[in-house]
Order: sequence, then C-alpha cells, then structure tokens
Amino acid sequence: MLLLYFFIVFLAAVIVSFFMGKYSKSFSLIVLGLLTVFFVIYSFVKFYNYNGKIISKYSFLLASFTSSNHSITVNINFSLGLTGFTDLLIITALLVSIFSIIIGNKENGGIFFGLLMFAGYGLTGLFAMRDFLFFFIFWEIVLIPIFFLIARYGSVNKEKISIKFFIYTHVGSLFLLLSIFTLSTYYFIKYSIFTFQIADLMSLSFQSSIPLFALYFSFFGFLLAFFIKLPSFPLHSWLADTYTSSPFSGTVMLSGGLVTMAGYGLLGVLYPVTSLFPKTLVYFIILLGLVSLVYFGLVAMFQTNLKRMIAYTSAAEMSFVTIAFGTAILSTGYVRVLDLSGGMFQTFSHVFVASLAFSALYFIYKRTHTMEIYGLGGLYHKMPLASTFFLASFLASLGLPSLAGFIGEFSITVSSFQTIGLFTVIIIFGLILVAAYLIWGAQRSLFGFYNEKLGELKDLNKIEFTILFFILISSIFVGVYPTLFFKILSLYATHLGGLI
Amino acid sequence: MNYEYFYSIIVLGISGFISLAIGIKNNNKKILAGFTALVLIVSFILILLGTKNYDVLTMNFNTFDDYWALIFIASTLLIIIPSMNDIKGRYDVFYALILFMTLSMLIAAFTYNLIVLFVSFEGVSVITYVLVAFNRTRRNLEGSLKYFIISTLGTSFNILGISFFYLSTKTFDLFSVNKIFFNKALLLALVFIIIGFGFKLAIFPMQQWAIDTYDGAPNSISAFLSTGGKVLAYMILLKILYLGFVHDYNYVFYFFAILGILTMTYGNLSALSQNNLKRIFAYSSVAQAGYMVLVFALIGFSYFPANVIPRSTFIRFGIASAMFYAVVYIFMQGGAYIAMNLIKKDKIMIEDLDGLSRKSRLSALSLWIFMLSLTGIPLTGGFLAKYFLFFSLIVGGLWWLAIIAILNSVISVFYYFRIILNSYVSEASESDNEFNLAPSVRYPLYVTALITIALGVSFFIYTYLIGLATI
Repeated sequence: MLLLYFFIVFLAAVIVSFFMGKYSKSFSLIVLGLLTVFFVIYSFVKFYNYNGKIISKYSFLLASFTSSNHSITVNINFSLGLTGFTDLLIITALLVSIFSIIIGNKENGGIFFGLLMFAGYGLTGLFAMRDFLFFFIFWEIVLIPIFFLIARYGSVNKEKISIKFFIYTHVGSLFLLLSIFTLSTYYFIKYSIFTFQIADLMSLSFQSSIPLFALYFSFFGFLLAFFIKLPSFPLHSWLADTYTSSPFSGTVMLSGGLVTMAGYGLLGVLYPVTSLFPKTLVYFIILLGLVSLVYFGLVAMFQTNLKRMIAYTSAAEMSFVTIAFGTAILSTGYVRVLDLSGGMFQTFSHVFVASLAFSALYFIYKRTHTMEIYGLGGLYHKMPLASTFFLASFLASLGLPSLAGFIGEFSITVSSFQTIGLFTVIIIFGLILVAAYLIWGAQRSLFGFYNEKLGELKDLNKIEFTILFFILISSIFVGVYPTLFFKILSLYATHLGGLI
Repeated sequence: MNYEYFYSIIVLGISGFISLAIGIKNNNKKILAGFTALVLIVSFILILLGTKNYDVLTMNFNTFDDYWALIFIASTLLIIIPSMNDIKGRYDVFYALILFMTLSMLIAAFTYNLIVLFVSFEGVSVITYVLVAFNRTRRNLEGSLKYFIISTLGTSFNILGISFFYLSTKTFDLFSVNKIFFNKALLLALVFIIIGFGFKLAIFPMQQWAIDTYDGAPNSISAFLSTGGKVLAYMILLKILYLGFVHDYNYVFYFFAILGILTMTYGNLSALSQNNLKRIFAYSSVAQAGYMVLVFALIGFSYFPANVIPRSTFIRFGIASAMFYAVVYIFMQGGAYIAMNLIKKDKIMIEDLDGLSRKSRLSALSLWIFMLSLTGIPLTGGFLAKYFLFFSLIVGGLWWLAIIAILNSVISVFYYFRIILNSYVSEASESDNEFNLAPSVRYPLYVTALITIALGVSFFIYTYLIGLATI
C-alpha cells in the first residue's frame, strides 16, 4: 500500500510539473486531497488497535553481496514502516503541501506546484523509510525543490540566500552521512554484515558495544544535522534570511515541513540510543533548548518585519522539542512518556500554527505590499477578517488553550519540571517573552490608528476566507480534541521509552 | 592459442582502416559516425560475451579488466555524436583515430605488463595530441602544444619510474612481483610513476596544463580528455599501486592522502573565482580526480587490526567504489562538457547560459542533472558514487580524510549551483543568447542525463562490483 502511494505521488508531481499547464494548481490539489483522505482512512484502520510498535512494515532486499571466503555480506534494503509519530507526520506533510499549494500564485506555472509536490513527497518519504540509505536520500531530496523555489520565485537576494540555505543544511546532512557509515562499519565488526537498517543500527545493545570515539562521532553527526534543521541556537543563521526571501508557499513548506524533519530525527530516530549520551551532553542539549527559546524570543522582539518575526517565533516554538528531547533522556517512568509525547505533539502541532500565521500574513501582504510593522497599523479597521485570522495564529503560537500550540507546550513544561526543577522558570520566562512580542506586534500592526498611506484595502474574498478557515479549524481541532493524536503518540512514546 | 579474447581488439583495428577507406570516397560525417558507433557497440558486446579468466600474451582477461574495457568503450561512445558538431575537417581520419584510441585503451585494460601498459598509454596520448588540435584554430593549437610538451615530460618520468621499478623487483609483470630487491629504487619508482601518470590524471602539482588544454580543445575532445583519458591513467595507477607497491609499503598512503587533499582543495577553490565555464569544469574535474585518488590512499592504509576488519575487505570496498566512481564520473563530467555544444561560442562564459531553460527545458534539465550529480545530490549517480567512496573510507578507518572530502564537496556546491542558477533563475532577465539546439546536440545530452539518473538508482551495481573487485 505504502509503496503504491510513493509511486503515485512521484508520478503526480512529474505530471504537475510538465504536462498540466494552467490546470496544474487544481490538479495537484485534487491529487493531494485524495491522497490525504485515503491516508487518513488508512491510518484509522491501521492504528485502531495500535500497540506502540512499528507497523505495516515492508522490506525487500534491493541489492546484496555475499562472499563465502571473505565473509563479507552487504545488504541494501528498501524498507518502509509506520509508527504513531511518523503516521501523524505524514498526514501533516500532506496537509502542509496542500496549504502551501493553495496559497500559491497560479501564474507561477506548473513547475512551481511540481516543486512543492516534490518537497512534500520527500517529506513523506523521509518519515516512512526504515533504512538509513533511503532516509538520507529523502533527507537531501527535500532540499532541492526548496532551493529551486527560493532561487526562482524568491524576493530580495534570492540567489545568494538560496545557496546559503542549501550549503548550511548540506553540511549537516553530510555529517549525518558520516555517522551512518561509522555505525554501519562497527555493525560489520560486530556481526560481519553491512547493513543500513535503522532498527539494527539504532539499537541500544549494538551501540553500547562500540568504541567511545566512534560513538561520540556518530552522535555529533546526528545532532549537528538535526540542530541545523530545527534550528537550534548557534546554528540558526540561515533561518531568517531563508524564510524572508522565499515565496510564501515555500515559507509554509519550510516552517511546516522541514522543521518537522528535525523533530522526527531527534525523537523518532536518535532517541532509542540516547541513554548512552554522557550526562554533560544531555545538560548541554537542555541548555541549548533553553537558550534558543529565550534568545529567539528576544530576537523576535526586535524585528520590524512581520515575516522575520514569525520565523523566529517558529524557531522558538521548536526549541520546546529540544527541551523535551533533553529532559526525556533524564527522566523516568511516566514523566518520560509525557515528555516524549509532548515533544512529538509539539512537532506535529507546530505545522498548523506556522501555516496559519504565514498564510494569513500572505493575504495581508498581497494587499498592503509591506510586511514592516511600522508600515502597517490599524489593519483591523479595514480588514477585520484577515486581522482576526492573523491574531488567531498569534494566539496559537503563544499557546492559548484550545488552540494547537497549547498541548505540547503545556505537557513539556509540566514534565520538564520533574527533571530540571526550578530551571523551568526559564521556560516560563520564554513563554512570557513570546506572548509579549506577539501581542506587541499585533497591537502595532493590527490595532491603533489606521495608516492612511496604505490606501483603500479590501478584506478577504470567499476563497481566501475558506482557506484560512480550514487551517484554523484544523488547528482548533488539534487543540480541542488532542486525545485522538495524543493517545497514539503516547503509546508510541511508551514503547520508545522502554516501558512496555 | 585462442584468439577469441582478442575479437573486440581486432574488430576495432580493422574498422579503423575501413573508416579510412570509406573516407577515400566520401567524407560524410553521418555515415562515418554511424559506422564508428556501430563498431564500438559490437566490440562492447564482444567483450560482454567473451569467456572469463584467461591468460595469453602478457594479457589477462578477467571480469575486472572487462569492466574497465567496457567503461573505456562507453567513454568514446559518449563523444561520437556530439563530435559531429564541433569537429571540422576530415571526418574519416577523426573517427579512425577514435577507433585506434579505443583499441589502445582496451589493450591497457587487459594487460598487466608495465611495458605494454606504457606503450598503450602512449598510444592514447599521441592520438589525443592530434585530436586536441584537430580544428586547427589558434586556441586548439595552443592547447595542443601545451598538452604535448607537458605530456612528453610525463612520459619521460614514466620511463624512469618503470626502469626503477624493474631495478627493484626484477620484473615488468605486475603479477609476479613478490620480492623487493632494492628498496630505495622502489621509492624512486613510486615517485616517478606518480608524477608520470599524475600528469595525465591532473593531480595537484601537475594540473595546470589540463586547465588550458580542456579550455582550448573542441568540446567533445575536452569531454574525452577529462573522462576517458583520466580514467585510463587512473586505472593504470590502480593496477600498478595495488599489485606493485601496496604490499607492506606505507608510502602509497602518505603520498596519496596528501595529494588527494591538495588536489581536491585546489580544484574546488580555484573553480570558485572562475567565470569561464569550460575552465570551471576543468577545475571541477581536477577536484573529482582528488576524490578518486583517495581510494589509493585507502588501499595503502590499515587502521583496524587484521582480525577486526581484514585489509582485503576494505581494499575490495575501495576498489569497488573506484570502479563505480569511474563510470559515474565519465557520464557526469562528459555530459557537462558535451553540454557546452549548446553554446555557439568559442570562449564560453557563465553568463552565456542565461535563458537556457526558456529556450529548451529538457537541455537545461540535463545540465542541472550533471551539476547535481557532480555535487553529489541523491537520485543521481554522483551521490551513490560519493556515498560508497566515503563509506569505504570509513570502513577503512580514514575518518579525517572522509571529513576533508566532505567539506570539499560542500565548497563545490557554490560553483555548481551558480551554474544552475545562471541557466534557471536568469530566465526572466532579458538575454538574447543563441543556443545550438540541433538534434545531434540535444539527444546525446538527454541520453547521458538519463544514464546518470539510472546509475543513481541502481543500488545493486556497487554490491555487484564488490564481487568483481579482485584483480
């Protein structure tokens, strides 16, 4: 089933890019919509009696070599599988593709939508793969469409920034690659077989037997790659430029898609072996999370460009994932489960928050042609609907209960109190910072006196309203009825935390 | 004596003369190109059909050699059709020379005798001097003269190296090297042989002729020089180093680790500041040779104790990745050079690509595929080649070398992606570049791009090559 899905999406993306002409937008939306419906039904069936393990596994030996006299065996597998976490991420990746395509400008032509579909395809592929070779292939594949999107359809300095973005993330990826090789080599030393299976290489019993140098080398590669994508504090300088320069569709894909890759990498791939982390490294990771939260909050406060501000907000939200990852290593029992599932939920719900914010900002920008806070002002008088949606996205970011952002942030804060104690104050401080600058930003841009320089503005039309309403409704659904997702996530987290 | 194994070589030799004979009557390039391509395909098939593992006349026919022979035929086959566009003059002579050159390369692929290796290598060199100057323009002649002088220097180093090799091992046959009689002579031989073949491979201190020659030669000949000619020198070095030097001889590792690092760093850094497209590709081919040379460092190295990972294991991995890198390299680098035929200019600057994707979408796509492949992005051959190369480095325990190579491949993103940006992003800008979109330019490009993609998704090739990688 899954295999068929990957084939269909690839084919559809090629068709959209080259053959559909002016119908490419509607065609890609129809295909993605059908696939999403199909996938939701599929996961309802599959996850009805979920046991927390990897399900719907599928694997075949793609290439293999065995030599009897040299005792070499090399296996390259193509293996797929779903967990509760990856299933939700695949659904959100499909939704993000829809969100990003739906706000795309029709005149950009087929290639634009084809690239967005390819990015979505890479994301879903990444989440489904259970073999490191293909994990890495999809990890890199996602970058290429985004690079082209920025380079072709971006705004200021697009050529420089597209290359900067690519190189920044490429460095991380290549160190990830070296880590994979290291693990594979030592797996061979222990079991006389070369394999790239995630389940084999990321097993505690194997990794506890390899030399410290190789172990720490591999940890370094994984953490570097994931922290660049997240982005975490010292590795974030690609973030604001890339978000600002890319077209809005690309920004939605970046904030809703690429960022989840890092969350998945930390919690879904790396977590099983984290009990081998040295204690100082764990404290360092938690520290990075805390510093990122406060730092991004402060930086966002001083931004005058709304898009940059939301970019930093999204990074600040993702630092909760780092904190969850770090504290989950230290904690035990039920707290660990709460921590892990909180981190996963944050990764997953962040998609809705970011998509809503960037889409609403796009519709405002389309009319006002400015994203500067001081260029706006009093928008609420002329565009009440758009302003409402924009404000809703702000409220979701700052973690208002009943919106998507709340559940994750709450559970992470609660559970991290059990491990890092009074340092939770920093998280609270970060939350207050986020709330402060978001409300301040909203006040300056949406309320107050109307800036007459903007001229006459029309409010959202019906289609735009429907789009934003749809995103908002899904965000509220996630916030009001989180049990549906949280149950699956916590089952998986229980399994991951070694409590079953 | 069984001549079955020489069929491909004999076919090539006879067909070279037939091609000359056709030229007496008429000089139709289509007929001659078709004939040459046919002959090359026939000899390709003959090698595939031949029985394996047979020794005759200092030549050794096994699957390892067959693989390299097939690569060499592919590298000449690649330039048959593109050369119809940029070669002017006597086509019969040109295609006959191509056939004779392939013959020389096949002999080099099959032999393990240093003298025969040397002679066949010289055969290829002499023919390429002529090919570079074939159009007799000023640029061609200048490139050819530089190439000729430097290459002759390399030849003399080769002779010296081979003589010293004989002095210390008392044999020319690589398979019968089993005792070292004179240790210092062996070191001299190593140095001289590295210099001699290193000139053709264009590794770091010996690279400057290559930049000028690749720039000055006709596009398809640049494509051949940077792929087939290089891979030939690479294969010869692989054979000599693996069979002649590697056993208990650590210098191979030190020399090539240093040379590899210098070569790739130099190539990548110099390409950054270039605006001449053919020179960028020349530097990129220098850098790619730097990655390939790392395999030599690997086969001279042992990090793990023999009971943990036997040396034979990672040497096998290294040679297999060298074989895979070679075939991918031929298609991606050759493709990049034959894509230059799209531009109707003698001196090709990077701005001349502006608006390519508007004029011909598929040609631009093919060019991007070559660039992505040279960078090492998944789903292209270049990715798998780099993947397995770095993998074998790690298996051999050379972490630091792998890290340096990876940082270099990050640097290379800058200039490869600049080319992509120029042909793609500048679409909207006003540019009146004229492109040569004749079918004989475009279709070879599409085919090469397809092969590059196909190599990128054929995961089984590497595992198959591990089986072959026993000399």
